[in-house]
This record gives sequence, structure tokens and C-alpha cells, in this order.
Amino acid sequence: MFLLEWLQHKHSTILFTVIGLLLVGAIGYYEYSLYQQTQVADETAAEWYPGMLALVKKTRDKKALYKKFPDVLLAVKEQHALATHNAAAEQKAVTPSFVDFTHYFSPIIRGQHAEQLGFVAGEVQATRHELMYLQKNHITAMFPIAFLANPKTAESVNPPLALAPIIPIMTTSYYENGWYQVWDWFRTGGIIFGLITINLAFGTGVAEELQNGAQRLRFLRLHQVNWWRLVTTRWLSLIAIPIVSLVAATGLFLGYSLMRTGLGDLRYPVQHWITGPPWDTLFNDVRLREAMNYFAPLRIELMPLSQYLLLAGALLLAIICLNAAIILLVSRIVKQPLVTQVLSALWPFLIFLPINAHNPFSYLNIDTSATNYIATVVDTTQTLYWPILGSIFLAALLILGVVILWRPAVAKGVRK
Amino acid sequence: MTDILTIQDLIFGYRHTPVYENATLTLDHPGIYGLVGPNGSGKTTLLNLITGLQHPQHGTITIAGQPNRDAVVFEHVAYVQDSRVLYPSMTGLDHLRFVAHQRRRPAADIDRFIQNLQLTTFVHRAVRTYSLGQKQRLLIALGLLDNTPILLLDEPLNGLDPDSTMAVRSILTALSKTQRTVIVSSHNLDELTKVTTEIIFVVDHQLQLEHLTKDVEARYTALYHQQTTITLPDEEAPS
Repeated sequence: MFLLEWLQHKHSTILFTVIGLLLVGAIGYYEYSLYQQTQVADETAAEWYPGMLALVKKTRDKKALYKKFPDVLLAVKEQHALATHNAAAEQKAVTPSFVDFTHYFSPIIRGQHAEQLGFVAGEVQATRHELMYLQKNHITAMFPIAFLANPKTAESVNPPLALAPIIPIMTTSYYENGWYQVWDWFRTGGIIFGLITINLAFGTGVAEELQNGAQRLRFLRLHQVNWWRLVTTRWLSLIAIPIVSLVAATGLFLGYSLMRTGLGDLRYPVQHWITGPPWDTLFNDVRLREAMNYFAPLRIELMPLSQYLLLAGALLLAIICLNAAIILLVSRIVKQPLVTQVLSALWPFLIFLPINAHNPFSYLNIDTSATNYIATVVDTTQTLYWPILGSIFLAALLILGVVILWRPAVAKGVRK
Repeated sequence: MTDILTIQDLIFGYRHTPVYENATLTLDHPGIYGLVGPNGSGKTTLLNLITGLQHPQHGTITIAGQPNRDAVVFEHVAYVQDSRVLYPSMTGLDHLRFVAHQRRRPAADIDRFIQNLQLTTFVHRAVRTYSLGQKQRLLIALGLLDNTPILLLDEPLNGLDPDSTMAVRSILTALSKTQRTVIVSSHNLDELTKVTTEIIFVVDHQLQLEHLTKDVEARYTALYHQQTTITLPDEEAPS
């Protein structure tokens, strides 16, 4: 049966077309992101943060910017030391190269004016934590450094009117390297759009065998390909095709990004929510301390991007398995290739429904589950990643089981 | 000697429409058998029942003395169905490769079939580009590649141009000289009589095997009470 799958696809140019489309989409999104990076400062921002604007403009000269970052990060450390031990001597210790940076971050790193900006101390702490991590591991930060505002804060942030235009600028990251773009695909759900494209091209399931009175199914059965073999082989094929397409497109994209801006650093810090002791605060303020531990007993920790990509990749694999089973079920019901393709392309949109505790598709949001942010949504202190991963695989197998057991009449053996 | 095919007390019907009622048939020697009956009489249903694609409500079907389980059917029967079984995106060669793989036949056999059945000119093209005649020849090639003692052909002559009709006839003539048992369902009585004298009529929900040497059409008319001369309304004599 694997031979038949191979023979069906070997002459097809659709696979190459799909890979090409995915690549074009990825490069387009990437270039758009890089373009936006250079456009982050508008006039309002310039009014309030001339230092920031100056720094933003320098993104057009990447080499200079990256060269500058080691100093910036060193200055963060110095700033931290000053903030905790000798606030009075702070201004004297600021290095010249840090001037622009402090315009933007210094008050926040010290815990000052956080409320004025509309952020809570949790974001201040997370951002500071990230900066320390970058410095410790000698990793170049994405530019401009953004506040790590989680979705809950982003929704609730209520800055003074005059500051409102600055908030999106301060919280938006531009994933400027190859691996960071892949991260962004998981974060924004772009990878799901890839799956939708693949489903549109290949999502016929077993509809071709079942249409026209299941003639092909009869032919296959007479050649010792029973329903079980057909369904399981097609399921594996529907898993293999997205993997091949996505891996090929990603590989080509990474090659492109390597030449364009580089791949980035797989040690880059990614936020995730795990149970841990409350943060010790640098700030002698009860309200800020409470705000910093908003998710307690969960707290925001950092993991390397490589680990995040592995976790997200495994979730994607599980979703691909589920997707393949859903396509088979849809094709078993509608028995029409075209209708099956359209429905197969529509179902992944459910993943984009608002994330909440009552929406089961929230668990299919790869970023939310890989970072365990889902735990804050369903109000638990557990790490839900493995149960979610297992449940998706189980759901895929259950649906596959239903399709296998739901044999068409022509697929059943002779009753003797 | 074991009978090649035995159908015993076969009962089958669709809801309120009986197709076979205690039908019986025995084929005890190889050869070409025509399967004849009006539209909807149950010719395709019979082939489906023999191959186990449909199940009798009563009765038994045995092939070489064994009930027609999937494994027995696979071992003994090749069934050439209509062209909808073919995958449009695959080439004829792909289909031959698949069948050869399932039958564990060497790749060299495929080349021999392509040559002998004159498929060379189109076998490398996707099936979606084939004419009906080319599809039919490919289907018969697939059936022959199965290399089973029994070959069932469902309406292989339907819609064929003269060239393809002659090609299929030539294949059937060659088959009649082998030790295979071939059942050919068809409405084309002229063509059938060119390759066989043994006809299975589906009549009154029964199977009736007859050896006919001449005038099959007359026999057909007698069995199915068909009016052979039709008078056009305009030509009726004025009253």
C-alpha cells in the first residue's frame, strides 16, 4: 500500500508547488517583519522617547547596533547594581554607550514609573530577567528590546492617553533572524496556516476511494488492500506529507535567512510558566511585589529557544497526526474529494478561537501549551504540556480508530 | 474433479427488488463464458457476489471448491471493473507496478504485458489523458497480470471504438486458447458470439447456462420477450 501512495505522488508537482508557496509565505512574512522593525518609531514615540527613536534608527545599520549591544548589556548589569546598592551614584556610572538605552529602560529596570507606563512589575521583572539572561550567555538581543508583556497584561494595560501609542512599540518584538522567525510562526499560529495550505492541496483522505460507489475501494480490496491497511497507510501518508512540506520549506527558509540576517541564537530566552517560589523583589513596595507574583505559585521562567522549538515541534507533530485523522473522518463522512479538501482546510481555524478555559481548541495553540501559559488560563499550577501532548495523540488515535471501525459496506468481508 | 465455480441457491435482492432467487450455476471447465441479461438484471451484481464485494442473503458461492473468502478470491479471481477504479494522476505503468507488487510478480512481466498488449504508446502517461479504449485495455492488462485461473470482465466492450473493440476481441480469443475461465458480461451479442458459444443468461432471477452455436439474438429475444421490430408512430397505417 505504501507503494501505491508513492506512485500516486511521484509524478505530482503539487508537493513542490506547496513547498514553494510555504517558502514564499515565510519569506514574505520575514521581510515584512524586518521592514516593520525599521518603522517602529512614529512621531509620538519620538516626542516621548527621543533616545529610543535614535536607537531605532540605528537598526538600519545592524553591524553597528550589534557591536553596541555588549556594552548595553554590561550597562544593564551596572544599572542593576546601582539600583540596588547606590541609587545616588547611578547617573555617574552610566556609560556613554548606554545613554540611549537608559532613556528607554532605566526607570523600568529600577522599578520606577512602571505604573505610569501602565505595566505591572511582573513585566518589569520578566524583562529584567531576560536582559540578565542575555548578558550572562552573551546573546545578542533582538532589537529593539521589547517588554515581555503577556497576553493578560496586554489586555488589561491602561496607560495614560498620551503614552498609549508607545505601549505597542515597547511590547512588540521583531523576529529578525531565521530561528526567531520559526519561533514567531509557532507564537502567531503561522505554522497552522502552513498546515491549512497543505490540507487544501492534499486533504482528500479516502474520499477518492469512496466516491463513485467506492469503485477504487473494490479494486484495492481485490488486491489485498483491506480497509484497515488503506486507512492506516493513508493516515501515515497524511502525516508524512505535511512533515516533508514543512521541513523542506523551513530548511529553505533558514538558508535564505542565513544569507539575509543570520539564523540567530538557539539559546535565546523564551518565557514559560512553571511552579516556583515567589520572586524576590528589588523594589521595596508591597504592591509591586504582589504584581510581580501575579501568577503565583506559577512564575515566569526562561528556557532556551532550542528547548522551546523541540516542545513546540512535538506539539505540531501531534496536531499533524490529529489533522490526518480528522481528514480521514471527514472524507469518510462526505466521500467527496473537493468537499473534504475544503473542510480539512477549515477545521484548523478553530485553533484561532479566543483562548479560554471552556474552549478545547485552546490546548491546540502551540505557543500557549509549549510555554505552559495555558496553565494560567485554566487556573492550575500544573505543567500541562505532557498531558496536552498525550491527549492530542490520543484524540488522533481515537478518531483513527473510529474511521477504521466504520468500514464501508464494500470493505466488509464475506459473511460466512 | 473440482468445479471451477459453483453457485448454489443464491438469494440476493435490493430492498423490495429481488435480483436472484435460488439461482444456481456450475462452471466445470475452462473457457470463455458470456454473461447476458437486460440492464438491471444483475450481471454486475453477480460478479460482485462472486468476488465477495457484495454478500448473498442466502446460498453459497464456491471457487475451486472453497467458499469465496477474500484470500480464495485473491488467489483465484481477477475482476476487471469499470474504469472508475483507475487513479487519474497515476500512469498506466504505475497501475501495472502496483498490481505486480501485490501479486509478487517480477518487473520483467510488466514489460512483457506492455509489449504483448500494445500499451507502449500510452502506458507512461497519466490515466486522466486516456481514451476509454486505452483505459479498457489497461484494465484488461491489470486483470491478466493478476494471472488467476478465473477472470471476470464487466462490460469490457462498452463505448469502445472499432480499433479497441478489435483489440479486446483479440485478447479474448487468445484467452480462449488458455486454461483460464473467463466470464464476460456484455450487451454486445455480436461480439460475444465471435469469442464464445457458452452464454450465461440472467433470466427470471435465475442463471441459465446455454451452449449456442447460432442465432444468439433470437434466443435473447425469446428469453426476454423483446420486441425486435419497432414501428415509428408516423408510419402507422391510418385508421
